[in-house]
Amino acid sequence: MKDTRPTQFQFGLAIAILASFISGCTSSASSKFFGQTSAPQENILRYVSGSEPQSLDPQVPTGQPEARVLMAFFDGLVEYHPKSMEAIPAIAESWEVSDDGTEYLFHLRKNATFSNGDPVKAGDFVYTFRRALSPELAAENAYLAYYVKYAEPYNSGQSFVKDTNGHFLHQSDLEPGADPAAETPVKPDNFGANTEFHRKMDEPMRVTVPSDEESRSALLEKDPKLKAAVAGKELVPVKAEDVGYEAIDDHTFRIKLLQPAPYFLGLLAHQYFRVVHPPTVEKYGAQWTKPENIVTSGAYRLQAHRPYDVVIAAKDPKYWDAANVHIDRIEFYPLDEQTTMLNLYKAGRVDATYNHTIPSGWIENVKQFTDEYLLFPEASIEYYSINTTRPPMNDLKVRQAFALAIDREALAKFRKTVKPLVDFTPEGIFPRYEEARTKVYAELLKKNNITQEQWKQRTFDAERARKLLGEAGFPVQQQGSGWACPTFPFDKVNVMYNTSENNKAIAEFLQAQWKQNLGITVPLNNMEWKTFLPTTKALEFGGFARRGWVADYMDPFTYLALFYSPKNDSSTGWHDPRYDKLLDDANKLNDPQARFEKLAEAEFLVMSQQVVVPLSTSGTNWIKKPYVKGLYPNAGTVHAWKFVYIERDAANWDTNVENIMKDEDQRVEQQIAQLMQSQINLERSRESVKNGNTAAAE
Amino acid sequence: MAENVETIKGTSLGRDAWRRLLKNKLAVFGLVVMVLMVFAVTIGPLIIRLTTGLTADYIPSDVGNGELVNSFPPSARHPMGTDEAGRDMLSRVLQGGRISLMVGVISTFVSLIVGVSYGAIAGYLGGRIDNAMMRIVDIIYAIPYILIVIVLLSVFGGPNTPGWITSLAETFGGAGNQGLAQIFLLFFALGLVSWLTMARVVRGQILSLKNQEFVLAAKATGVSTPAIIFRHLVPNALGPVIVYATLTVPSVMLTEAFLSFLGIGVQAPFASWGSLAADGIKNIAIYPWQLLFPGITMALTLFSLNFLGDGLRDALDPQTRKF
Amino acid sequence: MLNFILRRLLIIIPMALLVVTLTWGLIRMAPGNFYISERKLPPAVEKNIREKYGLDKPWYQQYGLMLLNIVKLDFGESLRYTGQSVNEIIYRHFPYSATIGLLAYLLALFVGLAAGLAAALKQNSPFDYSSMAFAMLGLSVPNFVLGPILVLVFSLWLFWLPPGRWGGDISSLVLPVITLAAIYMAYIARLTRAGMLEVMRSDYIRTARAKGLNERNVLLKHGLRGGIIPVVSFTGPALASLLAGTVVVEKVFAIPGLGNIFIQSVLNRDEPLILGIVAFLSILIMVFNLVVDISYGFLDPRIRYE
Repeated sequence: MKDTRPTQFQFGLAIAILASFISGCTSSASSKFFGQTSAPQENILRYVSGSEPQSLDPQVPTGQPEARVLMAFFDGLVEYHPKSMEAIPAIAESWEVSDDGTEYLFHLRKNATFSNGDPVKAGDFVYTFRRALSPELAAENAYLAYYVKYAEPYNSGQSFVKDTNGHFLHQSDLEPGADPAAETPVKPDNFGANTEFHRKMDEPMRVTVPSDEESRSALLEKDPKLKAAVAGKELVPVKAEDVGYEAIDDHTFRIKLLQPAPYFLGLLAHQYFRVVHPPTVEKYGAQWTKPENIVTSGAYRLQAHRPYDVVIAAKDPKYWDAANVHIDRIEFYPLDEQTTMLNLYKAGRVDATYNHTIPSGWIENVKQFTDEYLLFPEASIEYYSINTTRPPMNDLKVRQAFALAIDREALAKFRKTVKPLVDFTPEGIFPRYEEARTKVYAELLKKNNITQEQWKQRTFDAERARKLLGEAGFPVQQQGSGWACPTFPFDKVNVMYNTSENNKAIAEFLQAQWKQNLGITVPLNNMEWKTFLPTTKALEFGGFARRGWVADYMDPFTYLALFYSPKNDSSTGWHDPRYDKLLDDANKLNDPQARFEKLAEAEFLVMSQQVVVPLSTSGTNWIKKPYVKGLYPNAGTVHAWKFVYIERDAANWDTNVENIMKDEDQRVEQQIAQLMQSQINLERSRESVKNGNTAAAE
Repeated sequence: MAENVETIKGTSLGRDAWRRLLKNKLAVFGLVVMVLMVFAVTIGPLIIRLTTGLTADYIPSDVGNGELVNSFPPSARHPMGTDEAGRDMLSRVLQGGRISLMVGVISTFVSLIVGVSYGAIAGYLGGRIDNAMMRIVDIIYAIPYILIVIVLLSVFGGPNTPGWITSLAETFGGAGNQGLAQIFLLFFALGLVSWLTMARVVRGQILSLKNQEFVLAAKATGVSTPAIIFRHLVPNALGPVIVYATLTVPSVMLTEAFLSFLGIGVQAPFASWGSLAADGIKNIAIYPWQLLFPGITMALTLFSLNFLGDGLRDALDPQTRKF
Repeated sequence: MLNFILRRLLIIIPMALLVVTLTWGLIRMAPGNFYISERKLPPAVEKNIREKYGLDKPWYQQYGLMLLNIVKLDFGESLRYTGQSVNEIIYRHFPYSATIGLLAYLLALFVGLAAGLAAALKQNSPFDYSSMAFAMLGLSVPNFVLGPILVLVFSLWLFWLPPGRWGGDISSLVLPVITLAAIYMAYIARLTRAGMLEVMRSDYIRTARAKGLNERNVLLKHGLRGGIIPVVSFTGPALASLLAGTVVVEKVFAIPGLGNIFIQSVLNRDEPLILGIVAFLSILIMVFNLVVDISYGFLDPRIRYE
């Protein structure tokens, strides 16, 4: 067989054609908008929401992609302010907080209904919140409610301890000098209706122990005093009815917290606290979120759900605020391939995307579209956890050396959308906290003999890093034009990260930095997510593990809580009772400024131990068509969809979106003001009652 | 004596095939490109490092304020431009070529060893054993290989890498190199999923050979079964095996590229042509050189390997010799 | 013949069970589980989850239960997508993959056969050279590169076709189908050309020609039948992998097919979903292999089934 094949010339030609195709397509990016841009004729919004929702049950999923979708379908007591993410009235038209900050009283509006027409009552919230904590549902987000009284014991299957006289063992009974036999006095409290449940909630905190035999005996072994107190007494499992949720009447709902948690109100807008329709959930069980079964409570009802393709939300005409819902239909596209979604955007088939969707390679190009590209600081950080239990990273000086040897400014420049970070709370998100922190840090620096100069150079100080490493016993020597650290145990330290484009780029950059500044080549080791999690959690790594944290609520506590308690999730192996105490003390303070100062002390403590290497505060980094209005690049990329509208008049389209957070869109501002009115009225009337009382007392 | 005769015949056959191969211009072209490619990826990175000081993993964050950590088009210093981290694309393409070619060759070698022995044993023993062995092949065929690769990489990745793979990786790249161990794991994972067709090809050959006189003669003189299989049968079936192996190399390289696209292929700081192309495809409209150079190099190599494979088939296949 | 088909069909059942068993073992070896997340679960909650999904039972009981369910063709509920049964997920997403896969198969078969045939007939002509060069190109460009290039040209440059998503109309199918078909088209064209050249030299074609049949009849009636045997043996497994292995195309074009869901299920450690898809696909692949074996008999009279 005489074989005949194309000649060299011919396939050279083929490649030339291919090359000319590619280069021909690159030279078409000079128009005003990024791709095809014209407002749709209907009031529809096509939004890329991230990966396929795990579930449409608001209590189940934990991810941001689900949060964005679920916010359309379910309403909570409060809603996020579209810009600041503060709580604004939703089903609760107003609320009061007790003076000690542990009780919340919500007044529900009377016209709120589910999508099937049933009214939303306080009892539905009780049902929803209890279900959210039930061990059977095993919701991963349950920890969000742990500040509610007896929520954690119920969720984690614990029991009260009752003696033969029917008295429960209280935590105060275990304090030195307490007499367990004595009646515990109930503090009178006149916040809201005085019900039996309310009196029970106002009792001192009861002791709870694990119901499970094995973990209980393990706990009691460690605590002989508790063992003695529990011995011979009856164990009563903590039930859903014991958790601090109470429907006083159909339109009044009360929550009792363990201790003050000033951020709690803001947390209530989270999808985990959004109300579901109890009869539907009871009737269909796990199947209740199917399009044919689901009953929703939000501005939109579920019209169709084609997994991995689209979730279609249709405006619910029965919604209590339907008059102010502007978009008739939202199509959520569950996509996570960035190139694909940007192609769709350019072709005019998508109106907006979720956060972190512009690949770093595209940024230079996309950021010229100043009417569309949104880069704002985000309540989300990236950092490396250090396993502090293994040498050589158990040495503070080694940890500090590695943290100091990273040029964070260069990293930010490379990643293009992030800002350098040296502390654990994101920069530019909590301005009042940052003020308090500056003050506290100045005092603490003086106390710890650290100069301001040194402190400022935390972003990058290669020389001091080498010095510290030398002090730790690993001298760094000049070698050619670079550095070498021959005594460092290379095989004991590596970087673990879960597989992703972004994580890989950062890891490679840090590897280069450490090599250039310390002469140490740290091996990189990536794993897919489900392998990464057990390895890092069990601290089965030496060196660094990549982590990120997105705020659950707009308060620095959401970050600092990561190091709280010996069983914390920080993957560092670090724990300090002084730290826990600082956080507890902080939350007991009612004055926000004083609380922030305490929190800042805690942050100083953890940062001075350098158990993590903070890297960057993320940026929002997403894009929307200029005709989509009322969609703001807030710090959490969560959108209250009822404020969004389509502007058909090109003259009113968004321009220069870098000012979008400052510019006031009258339509949105009025809508918010109208919603806020009820709460303002209540606060005014409380003010006048208080003033009246003081006047009467005088 | 008998063996001598065979050897002489073998060489003349080989020389014959070689002559035929040289007549096929495209196969020669493929051969030349492959020789040049192997040469380039072997010593290329060293030359670049000695002349410009650049390496495949050098991120210029120590220059100025890090403004060089960015994509730059081809220039005199960077003939293929740079990637997003400012790394020299030429070094990366050459370094990636090492990995890609190693993936192709080593995985094919693994599949050769497993596939040839498996197919030969099944084919020679025949009957129920053959039937059972081939059903097992069918079964493994029916498990999506992506599952096998993911599980192998996650079970034996990171801290659980078997010692012999780690030590193999260490002899190549020095101690504590997790990334390299991962790559070696990938070689074996890919080899272990691509031996199936090889086993079928070999079995078919052995079936047609095992009743020929030289085998019967060997049996009659009391040669042991393993010796018959591996000393008499397998050498005679090598023609199709070599051809098939040449065609396996490009297909394994494509599979590796596909895995890299899914994010489970070669891991940082290493790169392969596939992972470079997967990175580059994202920036195709903005920094086309990041796709173009690794893409063209990879396509050229696959082209050449396919040509070479075709040429070898024509040269070695006894059927085409008749005319 | 019937006997042969029946026997092969029957053997699929134990083989599928073996495939499932192997897969099950592989999943159990992988670290991590479906419920692990960044947050530590309270031990009691974890215990609850394990009880709920029967993970607290000894492994042989779990294995037995799993096999029993599969024999009943009920794969249970997905662990990640709560409330969705595996059967429902497969039933819902397979049609997307199948549509694209089948269209790509037909396209590859049609174009590949035509090009291969024409190239074989006009051996050494410019058409032969250029079509084979194209085929070689198809074999050398990964489809994750080809897809985005097509999108760039036809969607973002010319604005002719949508760049992705399942639109329900033909325009949204064009690019994914071409992307998927390319490599198979190239293979089929090469196989057809080689097969035809081989056959045209064989004795029975010479005889046909000697009988004075016209060239067209020789080619289509006699040549084609023998020439496409290698094509058939390639396309059987290819069709199966086309229906199942559309992962890249699904990712690039955001199509909700089964391939992508399978990858996700492995990454999520969603055991019932993995097992369900593996069982489904393995049966599919084995059936296709059987069909290929049967069709040999029709194409080549020399092959007989015991």
